[in-house]
Amino acid sequence: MSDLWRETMVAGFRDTVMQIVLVLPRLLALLTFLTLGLLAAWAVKVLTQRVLRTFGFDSFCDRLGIVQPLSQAGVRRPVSQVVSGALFWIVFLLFAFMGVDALNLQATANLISQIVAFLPNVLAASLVLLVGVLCANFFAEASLIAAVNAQVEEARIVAGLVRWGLLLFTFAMVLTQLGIAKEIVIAAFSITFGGVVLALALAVGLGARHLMREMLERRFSHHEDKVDQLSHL
Amino acid sequence: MPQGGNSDTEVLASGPELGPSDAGMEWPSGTVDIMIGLLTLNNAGSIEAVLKSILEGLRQFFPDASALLVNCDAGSQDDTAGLITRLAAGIIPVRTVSNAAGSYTNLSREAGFPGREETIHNFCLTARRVRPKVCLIVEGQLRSFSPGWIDHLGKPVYEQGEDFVVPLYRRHRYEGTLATNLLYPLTRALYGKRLRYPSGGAYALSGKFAEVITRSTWSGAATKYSVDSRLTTAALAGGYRVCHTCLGTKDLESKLAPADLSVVLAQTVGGIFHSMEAYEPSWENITRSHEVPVYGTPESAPDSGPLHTSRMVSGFKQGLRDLLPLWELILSRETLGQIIALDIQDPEEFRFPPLLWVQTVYDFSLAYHNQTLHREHMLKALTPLYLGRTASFVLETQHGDSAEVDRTVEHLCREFESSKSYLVEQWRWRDE
Repeated sequence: MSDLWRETMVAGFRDTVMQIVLVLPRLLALLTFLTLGLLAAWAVKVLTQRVLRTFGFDSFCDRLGIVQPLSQAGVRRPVSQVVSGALFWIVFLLFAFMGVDALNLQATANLISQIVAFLPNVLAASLVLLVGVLCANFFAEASLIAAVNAQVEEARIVAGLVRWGLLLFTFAMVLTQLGIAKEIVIAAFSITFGGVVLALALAVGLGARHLMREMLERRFSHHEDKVDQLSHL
Repeated sequence: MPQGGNSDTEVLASGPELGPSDAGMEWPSGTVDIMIGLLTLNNAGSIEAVLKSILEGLRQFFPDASALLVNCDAGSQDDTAGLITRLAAGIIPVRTVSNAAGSYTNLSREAGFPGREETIHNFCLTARRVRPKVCLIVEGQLRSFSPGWIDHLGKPVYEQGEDFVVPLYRRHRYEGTLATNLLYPLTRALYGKRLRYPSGGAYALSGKFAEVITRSTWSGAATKYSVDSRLTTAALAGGYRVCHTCLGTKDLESKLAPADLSVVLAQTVGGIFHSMEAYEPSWENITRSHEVPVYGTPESAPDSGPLHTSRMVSGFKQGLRDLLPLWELILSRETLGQIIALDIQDPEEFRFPPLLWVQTVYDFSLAYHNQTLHREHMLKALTPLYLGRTASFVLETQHGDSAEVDRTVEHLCREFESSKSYLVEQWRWRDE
């Protein structure tokens, strides 16, 4: 009995020590990857920032009209900082994934290859998101100015509808691109969009038909407006 | 004037560069004294009267000059070009130059008719080949054109050596408020010449100036803006001899609804702002302005009735409420603070002080230069402020006469001139 107990204890201890001996280098590898990742990411960040600043990347983006919509979207840092920050995280995550892969766990087997295979989708979705947000801001601003100049009282509501309509459309495209609940997203978008159009049609056709008639008559009969009495040029 | 005119038709794509081989095949360079550009778009109804006036004017006032009529057509569907050719046959040589279909660079109409800009471009290209002494540009929809206008427009160039003749029409005191409150004071302060902003209809150019503008004003971003603004600033910045000639009432046959105010404003003001970048060395050091020659006596027409300003004030109010976040990006803190502080409670007592308006316009020009916002958005965001200033201008002068309006405009012009140092200082500071 005592021999069996002793053998079991020794075997358990030996197995545990063996496992620790096997895992320790992997943990060490993970820590090394994380440390190297931090250093490499920091180096890439600093280098990118310096190069971008040297070549006047911020003023170039300013001239392209990228800064203002980004600022409106809540990104108030210089574009060079945003780019270098993004590169920092990309490099660090790459090293982190290598570290996790080095652990050789069953749950994380083939993690890197899966992530790499999914990267094109993420990049495409990011691009769609960026273009969508920029377009939403641009067209919302354009519609706000047009509505104010036409003296439409609800100018801000019009601009908000344009912005959120485009953002909704963008988010639906992003989720579809990422393959997240594709069918649900398409169905939800179709239902929402169709519902909004139907609601507007009912509101205009039933609720505000007299108002719409007056507006259209004013628009197409060149009704003399008090402002238009003036010849501006 | 040559008899037995021949005629031919060609279709030019917008903006072709001419090679040396194109130069004056039918009319050897320098053999034409006066080249008249008749700009048309579906003007069959009114063109006969205009053409008769032109021919009569040439017969009366330039009997010995050789003349060429160039019909620059923007794509008429009512055989306007054919009608002109038939009516002028045997009296004056006619050349028809049509816009290539769909070649319009800017479909949002600023003034005149769609394709007007391309017709002027085509005319100037033809002038570059023919090299006439005098170029007259007449819009086919100008019903009030009379034979005497040929003399008033042509003589300053033909006899006095002027390069760019801008007509002054008989107008009532509040016509052209955008010109009197913004375009004229700004160009005057910039280039130092008291040339009123042109309102279209007709022009006269020297052959030399017509040739120069084909090279400088029809390329790049400039084509997005008003052709009148480009011609004016090219003449002023280039140091050409500019003058006014007094014509009568401008009566245009227009089948189209008036262009949207914000579009007009963006194209005209944008044209001047754009030229500020293109001609920076020409305006930076100018501190005073000088009169330009005026041929004839300016007249003003009686008022057409009281003007209502309440809608203009409400337009300004709405801008203040909804466009404030954009104005914060464009205007300096001091200017914006003063605008917010304006009393808008009583529309009849509303005032937008001249100095504040000057600061506003200069801040917009600086924002345009710095590309603080998308440029078209920025220019259109000026509309409510312009409405506010116009309302104030009308309210300030409503109990006075035309002389009172002129005094107010003159005062505004002086404010623009005296505050120019602020513009130059900020412009240079932001360039560094």
